Amino acid sequence: MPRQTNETSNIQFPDGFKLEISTDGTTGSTWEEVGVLAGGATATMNWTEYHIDAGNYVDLVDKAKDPTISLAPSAVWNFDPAVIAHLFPGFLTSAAATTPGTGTDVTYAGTDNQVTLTRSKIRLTHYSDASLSTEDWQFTLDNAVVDAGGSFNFKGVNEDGLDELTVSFTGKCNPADSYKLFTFFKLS
Amino acid sequence: MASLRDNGTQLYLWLKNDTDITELLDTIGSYPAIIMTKMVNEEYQDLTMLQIYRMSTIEAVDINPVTYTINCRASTELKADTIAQAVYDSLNRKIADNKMAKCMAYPCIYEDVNHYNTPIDVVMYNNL
Repeated sequence: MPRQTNETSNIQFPDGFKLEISTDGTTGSTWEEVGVLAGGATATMNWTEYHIDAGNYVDLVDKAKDPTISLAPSAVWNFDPAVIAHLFPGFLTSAAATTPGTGTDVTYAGTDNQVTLTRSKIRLTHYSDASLSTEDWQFTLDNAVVDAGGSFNFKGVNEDGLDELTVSFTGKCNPADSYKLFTFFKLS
Repeated sequence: MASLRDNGTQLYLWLKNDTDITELLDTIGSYPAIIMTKMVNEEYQDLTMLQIYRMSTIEAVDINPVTYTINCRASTELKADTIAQAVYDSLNRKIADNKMAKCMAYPCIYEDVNHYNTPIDVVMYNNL
């Protein structure tokens, strides 16, 4: 059978991406590179649909409100304490430690049983060149908060794979930035 | 891209620098008899030696566990097993140079008169 479409020039090949999270909140001027992931990431769009009966107008008006995007990266394979702390903005912090050796502690950031989560930007970037200078696509999630927990998975020697860290985020419209929610950029 | 031989070279260096292993091997010139080819030259075939080659694929992934076979060759089954034990003890769960090794030891194989081989499979978890 012949191919049923000629629209074949915008395929995206499965080649991974660089995952980064902003370290200056929703400003997005400074970024922490998250490192190697076990696989890819899924961004799920959601909203609440409602309808308005517009009086004399013949149909119901379909509306959507409270849009969100959940970003669920696959497991993170980077145990750099700074990266771990930055992946949970507001919830975790890191500091130099001397016990049990000279290193870094990652700890809960709160001093109470509640803590203020910091909103951040998260972006996925794919480069088309080996020097990582030409972005051919980029997905930026605005105003994201880590709201679905996370996990450390420390494996035994009888298991395959590496130790893993999981985390996921939800982005909401940012009122301070024209209610921006996300941007998907694709190079012409 | 990293060289296809990076992990094998690392494996060779770990073995070459472990005197518990090299003291059990013959020498070729001033080097311990550790040969990294599939075919061993006829002049070296009677040596007590390690012969290493890669058994699995190197793929387009960020972390690539690669399996190598280390053939521990000696004139008797006991000698081959003794070398294999030293290799296993040296490499199994070794974490160094941003790599990790895990070992699997196979039973000794009789290959010819006075030629025994105890293979050890080593999975090298490489960094990027």
